Amino acid sequence: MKKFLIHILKTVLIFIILAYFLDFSYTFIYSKSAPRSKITWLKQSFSKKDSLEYVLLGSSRCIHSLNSKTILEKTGKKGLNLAYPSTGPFEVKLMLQEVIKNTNTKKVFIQIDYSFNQISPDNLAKINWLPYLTEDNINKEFERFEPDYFYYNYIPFYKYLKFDSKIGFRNLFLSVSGKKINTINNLGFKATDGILKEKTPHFYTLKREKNIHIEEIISLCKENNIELMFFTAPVFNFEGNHKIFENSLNNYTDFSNAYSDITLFKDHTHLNTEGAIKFTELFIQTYF
Amino acid sequence: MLFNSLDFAIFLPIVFFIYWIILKNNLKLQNILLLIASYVFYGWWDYRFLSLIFISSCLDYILSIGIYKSENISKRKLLLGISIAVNLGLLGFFKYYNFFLNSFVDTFSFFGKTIQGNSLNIILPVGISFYTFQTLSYTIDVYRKDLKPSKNPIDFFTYVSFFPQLVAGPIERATNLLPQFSKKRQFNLENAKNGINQIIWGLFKKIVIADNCAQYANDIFNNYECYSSFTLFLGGIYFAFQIYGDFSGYSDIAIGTSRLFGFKLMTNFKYPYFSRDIAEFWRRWHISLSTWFRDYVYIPLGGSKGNNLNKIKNTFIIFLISGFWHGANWTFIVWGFLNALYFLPLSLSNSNRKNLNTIASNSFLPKGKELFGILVTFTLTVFGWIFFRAENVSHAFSYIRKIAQFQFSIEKLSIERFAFESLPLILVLVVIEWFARHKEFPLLDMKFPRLKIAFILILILSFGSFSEIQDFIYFKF
Repeated sequence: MKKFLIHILKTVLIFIILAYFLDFSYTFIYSKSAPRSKITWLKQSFSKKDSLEYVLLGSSRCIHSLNSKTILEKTGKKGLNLAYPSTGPFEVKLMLQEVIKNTNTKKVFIQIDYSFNQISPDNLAKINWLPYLTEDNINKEFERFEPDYFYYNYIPFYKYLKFDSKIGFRNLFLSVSGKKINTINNLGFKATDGILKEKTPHFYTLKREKNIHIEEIISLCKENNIELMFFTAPVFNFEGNHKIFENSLNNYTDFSNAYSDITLFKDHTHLNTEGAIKFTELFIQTYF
Repeated sequence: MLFNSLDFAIFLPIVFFIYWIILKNNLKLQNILLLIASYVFYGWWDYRFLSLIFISSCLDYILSIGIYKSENISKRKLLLGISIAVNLGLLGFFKYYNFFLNSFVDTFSFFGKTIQGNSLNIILPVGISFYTFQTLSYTIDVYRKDLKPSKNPIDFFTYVSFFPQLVAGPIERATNLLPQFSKKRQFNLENAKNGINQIIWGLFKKIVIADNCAQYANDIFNNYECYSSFTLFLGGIYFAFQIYGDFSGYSDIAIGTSRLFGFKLMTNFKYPYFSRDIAEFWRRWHISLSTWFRDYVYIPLGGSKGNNLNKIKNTFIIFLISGFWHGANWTFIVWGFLNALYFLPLSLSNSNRKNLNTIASNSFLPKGKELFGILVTFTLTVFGWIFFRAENVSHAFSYIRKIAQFQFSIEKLSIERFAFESLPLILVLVVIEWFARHKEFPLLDMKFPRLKIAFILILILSFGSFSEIQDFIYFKF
């Protein structure tokens, strides 16, 4: 029995060593090979020497709505759309920290909506940050707000197992083989097709007066002399209100009811390709 | 409790520790522990269904003693009849009630009569088909006087509910498993090490092969209208390896776990996809069920004795029942029918036992004829699995019709992956199994054990599907 217990301990030890080895390898490879997320893109491809006129942050409502390439062509102002799906205020704050660390940016636009209700990291949006838990500032933020922080931080390889379909071997393989995310070609913008069919009204309620991440974002921008603008992207047939934003946020613009033409929407909260063309024009007129 | 869950990872070492360290010299207490552990294991899903196992165990324990003691043939038959009726009655009610009702209503409406049938919202108790067959075999063996009934209720109740094989087999015969409960069990280091290795191998098949293939198979079967013939054929292959990895993986974990407690369960799978004909496939696939049907249905019906008509009748009976055992859906019956059609030519030409040896037993690679046999058998099997996997018979036919259009294109699935992406994993499994085809399982008594275990663990960690964990398919049977 004693020999068996030693055998089991050795097997468990092999397992733990392998887990550490794989965790280290994955983390290292993700930081060095082709970017599979906008975070890696920002970290690898930009430096403090890169001057950006603006950066767009937010969720898929921002990625599919504003074409940075069109803005560059029409205004000559270079900027990036660094939004990505499901992003909430927590991830926006992390991305802003990276923007400050890796670029010289003058203006930041943040798309804000029902995600204002969210304090914890988003279950989907947080995944791309997990390989960077080795970095102090990111680690500290996760420690403050992530309920599963202990598992992600202390159990080797756990994060890569739990989210294997997003940051597992397949994604790692694509990264090693040099396959970058395709939104890079459009400076972060991604068009989406389809036309909304239901004309039903859409609404959501803002449940809190303040969001700690937004507060910290405002402070960060002040400290770094970055001009900060908030906006809400168009929503089809929106019946709610954004009074909380109007009352508490400086430089807030509400575009939620900018369009009533259903053909511009893919669904209630996302513009399609044609909608993005129109909204980018409106955005340029408003801000540039 | 799932074998691939954290609950089980905690449960198993606790039971193992108490069993060997605290109760090591006390057989009776070890058996009581196994009984309690088995009821906890099963009750983890739904404690209410423990009553079914308990009733079934009580009934067969009492009836088998009655059968054994009685010299009166009518009384013996009556008692056996009660056991069969109650066991199959419970199985029939929980598993087949709605199926029979709906089929009855459909038949009447086909002839223009409308009748009202109130289907019930019945939850199928996990593993009911497995433990029902296990207890049935016990009573039948006692009736046949192949086995003396157990006098020790603890041994018998533990035999019925033995947690490693309770919910998805192997369906153990009382003649093999029951006597093991009454013999003192000594801890055997090599046996225990092999048990751990077999569990790891089972987890590899489940987490790496089955759960990965499941993602592709599910997407392809659910959206088959959108894909080309080539992709649909791949979908069939993925399902073939999903069900193999899933079910044989479960059996490996069950057998490996039993080894840890000093038990030897029967082998349930012997590399079935290396079979050279369908008869060989059925000697290598779900062996505990195939042999159950052979011993308790096929041979009593006359087996392959008698004229060709008798052979045909018995072949169809056994395969149709086998199909129906898998689930209350016409798809399983068609699957059984199809396998009977595959098997019949071999049976009628008395060539169903020509491939009894290990394939390529004296060479590294199979001969051309053998390889051809493997490919044909595998293709036929995949064709059958399409019925097994389909939602209903018309879904299966539409799927096959689309394959028959012979369109070839390399497509990206709606899960944002190319249809062929999981093929390399299947290839890894096939290669490992080919090298191990002479052994019970690839990690048995191997050279360089740590290196190989490390390799399998790397495969599990790197390629395992942890975010898309699927239930074991055979739980629903």
